[in-house]
Amino acid sequence: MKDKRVYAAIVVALACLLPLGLDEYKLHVVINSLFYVMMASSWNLLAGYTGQVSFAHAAFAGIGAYTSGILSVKAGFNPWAGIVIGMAAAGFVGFLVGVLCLRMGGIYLSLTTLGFSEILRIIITNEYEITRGTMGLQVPALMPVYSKTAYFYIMLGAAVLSLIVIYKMIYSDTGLNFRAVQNDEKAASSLGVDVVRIRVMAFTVSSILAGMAGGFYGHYLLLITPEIPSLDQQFLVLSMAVIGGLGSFVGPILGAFTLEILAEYIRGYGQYHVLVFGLVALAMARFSPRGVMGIVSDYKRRRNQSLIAAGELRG
Amino acid sequence: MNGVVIGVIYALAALGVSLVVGIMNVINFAHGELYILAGYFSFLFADALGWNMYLSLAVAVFLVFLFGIFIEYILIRPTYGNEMYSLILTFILSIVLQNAYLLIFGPYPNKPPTWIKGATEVFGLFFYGNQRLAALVVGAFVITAVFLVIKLTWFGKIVRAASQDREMAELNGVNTLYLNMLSFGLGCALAGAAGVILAPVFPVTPTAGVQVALTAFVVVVLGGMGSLWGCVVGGLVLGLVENLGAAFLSTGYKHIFGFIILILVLLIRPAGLFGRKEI
Amino acid sequence: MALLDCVQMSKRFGGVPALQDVSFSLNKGEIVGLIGPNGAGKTTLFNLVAGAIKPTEGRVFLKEIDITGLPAHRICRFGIGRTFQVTRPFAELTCLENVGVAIINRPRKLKGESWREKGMEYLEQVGLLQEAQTRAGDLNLIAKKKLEMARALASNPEILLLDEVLGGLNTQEIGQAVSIIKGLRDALGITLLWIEHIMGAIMGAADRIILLDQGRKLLEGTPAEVVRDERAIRAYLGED
Repeated sequence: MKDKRVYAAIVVALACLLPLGLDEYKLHVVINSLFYVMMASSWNLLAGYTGQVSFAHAAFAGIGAYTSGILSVKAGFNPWAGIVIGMAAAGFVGFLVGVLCLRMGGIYLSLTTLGFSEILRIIITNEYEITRGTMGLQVPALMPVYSKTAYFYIMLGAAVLSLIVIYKMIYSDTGLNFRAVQNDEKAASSLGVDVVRIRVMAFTVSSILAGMAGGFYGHYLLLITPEIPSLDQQFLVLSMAVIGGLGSFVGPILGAFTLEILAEYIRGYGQYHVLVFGLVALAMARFSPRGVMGIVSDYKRRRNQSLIAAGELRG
Repeated sequence: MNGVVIGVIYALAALGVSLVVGIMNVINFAHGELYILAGYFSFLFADALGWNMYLSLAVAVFLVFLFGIFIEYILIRPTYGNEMYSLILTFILSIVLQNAYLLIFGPYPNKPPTWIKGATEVFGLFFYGNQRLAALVVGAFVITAVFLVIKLTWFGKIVRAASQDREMAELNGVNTLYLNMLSFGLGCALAGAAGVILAPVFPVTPTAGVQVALTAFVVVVLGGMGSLWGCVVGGLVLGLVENLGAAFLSTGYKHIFGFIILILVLLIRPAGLFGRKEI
Repeated sequence: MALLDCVQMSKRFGGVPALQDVSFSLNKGEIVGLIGPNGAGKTTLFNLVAGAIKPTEGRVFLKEIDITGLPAHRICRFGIGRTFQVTRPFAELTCLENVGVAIINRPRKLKGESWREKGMEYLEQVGLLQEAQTRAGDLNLIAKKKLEMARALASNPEILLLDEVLGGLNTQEIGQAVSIIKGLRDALGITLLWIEHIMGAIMGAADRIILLDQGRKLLEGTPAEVVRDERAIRAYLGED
C-alpha cells in the first residue's frame, strides 16, 4: 500500500515535467489521453467493479460539457463554477436513470443508457438555438490567457483527483460491496448487501466523474460538439477499459494512453482506428476478459507458482 | 394505416431480439447491424449481380442466419453465465460492423430494387405505395410463420420450455448448446428478414441499424422480455403512437416517443405488458 | 412467544403450486429439521422466509414483526442468515473478503475492530484460517461449504437457515460438521432451521422435524415420532 503511493507520486511528478519536452501537438495528445484516462477509469469503476454496462458514459460527459458550456455562454457563469454544476447535473441524471433501471437488473441499464445516448444526440442536434447543433458551441477558456501548458496541469490535476476518488472507493467497504454484487448478487443480498442501492451508487458516482471529465474537456477544446456524447466516443472509452483490463486500477489508464496515441498515428492513414480497436477489443473480451492486465497478472501468478515449485525441488 | 405498417415491421424487428433474450438471456446489440447486413446482401445480389429478386432475398436471409450461428459459436458461447461480457461483445461487434460497412459500401444510402411499383387506392380514401403494402403482407406472413413454428414444432416446444425455465429444460435433457446456436441464428435471420423487407422502402446506410435496434429494444421492453405476443402488441403500439405523435412534434423528434415509452414502462410496469418475470 | 412464525404460506410459480398452506414456528434455541422428497418445496420455503422470493399468500413474523415480502438484505439485517444448497461463494474475492462482506453490512457497525480481524475469527471457527487469502473460487467443495457457513455466521444471525450443508461429505466429515452445527446452538444460542437429506445426521441433531411432501406439511414431531409414522415412511423414508 505504502509502496504503491510512492510509485504513484513518482509517476505524477515525472508527468509534471512533460511540458518541458513536448511540442504543442504532442501536449495536445497527452491532454486528450488524460481526458480518456478519466473516462475509461470511471467507466471501469462501474463495469469492472460492479458488472454493469452503461452505454451512456460519453453522454454523461456530454451533459457535463454542455451544462457548463451553456451556463458560461448564455448566463455568464464562471467556467469553473459551470464545471461543478455540470458534474451535479450528470450525477442527478445518472441517479434518476439508475433508480429507474436498476431495480430490473443490468440488461435494462444497458438498453436504457443506449437509448439515452441516442436521445441526447437528437436533442442536441435539434435544439440548435441553445446548443448550436453539429456546428458546435464555442465556450470560454478556463484562464484569461490561453496556455496549453496550463491546461495540461489542470487536466492532470483533474485526472489525479478522479483516480484518487476511484482508488479510495475501490479499497473501501463500499468497494468490497461492489465486488460482492458483481460476483453474485443473490449471495450478496442474503448477507445484507442492498444490491440496488450499491448499483445506483456506483452508477451515480461514475456519472459524476464522467461529467467532470466532459466539463474540463469542453473548456479545453473551446468548441463543444455532439462528438463528445457520441456512441463512437463511448466505444473508444469502452475499448480502452476492455483492452487495458476491466476490474484493474491500472488497466484503463494504460489503455487510454495507448489507444489515444495509436489513434493519432492511425489517423494519418484514414479513419481506420475504430475498426482496428474494435477487432482488438473483440478478441480481448473474448480471449482475455481481464485485458492486458489480466494477462500480466496470470503470467505473474504462473511464474510465482513455478518459482515455488522449483524452490521445493531444490529444497 | 402507416402506423400499422410500421408497427408490423417493428414487431418483426423485435421478434428476433425477444426470442434470443427469452431463451438465452442475451441482448444482441448488433441486431440492427444484422438487419443492415441483410439489406446490403439483397442490394448486392439483386442490383450489382443481377440475380433474381426472390432468390437474392432468400440467400441474404440465409447468409445472415449462418453469420448469426457463427457469432454465437465464436463470441457468445464462452460468455454464458456472464451477462456483462455478452453485452460488451455485441456492442463492440455492432461498432465493428458499422465501420466495416462504411469501408466497403461507403456512407451513401443503398437501395435494392423495389418488388412492385405504383400505388394502390386504399378503401377509396388515399393512395398507398405498393411496396409498403407488400412489406406489410410479407412482414405479417413471417410473423405468423414464426408463431406457427413456435406453436407446432418440436423446436418450438423446446424453445417454450427453455424460455420458461432454463434449468428445468437442461435437467430434462435438452441440449441447450444446439438450442442456443439455433435460436441465436434464428434471431439474426429475423433481423435479416426485416432488413430485406424494408430495404427497398428505407434505404440502408452503415449506421441506420442503431435506430432499428433501439426501436426493437423499446418494443421488447414494452411487450415484456421474452414474450413473442408482447412483441406484436408492443410493435403495433409503438408504430401507432409514433404516427399519431408525429403531428405534435417536429420530425426531428420522431424517435423520442420510443424513449418516452421506455421510461413510462420502467416507471409503471417494469416487466412489460406481457412480462412473465418473477422478481 | 415463538421467535419465527410462518402462517399459511403458499407459493405458485406461473399457476403451478410449489407450496400450499404451510404453517410452522421456531422457538429460540431450537434445531428444527426440514425433510421431504425432492420437489417437496423445502428450498421454496427457505426462499420465502429469507426474502429471496415473495409468497403468493401467507405471512412471516419475526418476533411478532411482519417481515413478509421484505427484500433479502433487510431480512438478513433483521437477523435471519442462510446458506445455499449449491454454494455461492464470491469467486473472485478471497475467503477473508467473503466473510468481510457479511460483517460490513451488519446493522450495527463494529467498534474498534476492523472487519479483517473479526473475519479471521469466523474463518478460524470453521477451520479455514490457512485459506484466508485464497480466492474463494479456487476452494474445493468442502472448503466452499465451510466458507458459506462462516459467511452466514458473520452476518451475526439469530436464526440460521441451512440448506443441505452435509451433501458430498464423507462419514467422518459429517460427524465434524454436525458437531460444529450443534455448537452454534449450544455456544452461541443460534436457532436453526435445517434442510437435510442425510437422515442419520438430522434425526440425531434435531429437536423437531417437519416433513414436507408435494408442497404441503405432511407432519411435524420429534425425530422419534417421525421415524415411526407410517405417512412419513410411505412419503419419504421408505424410498431409500
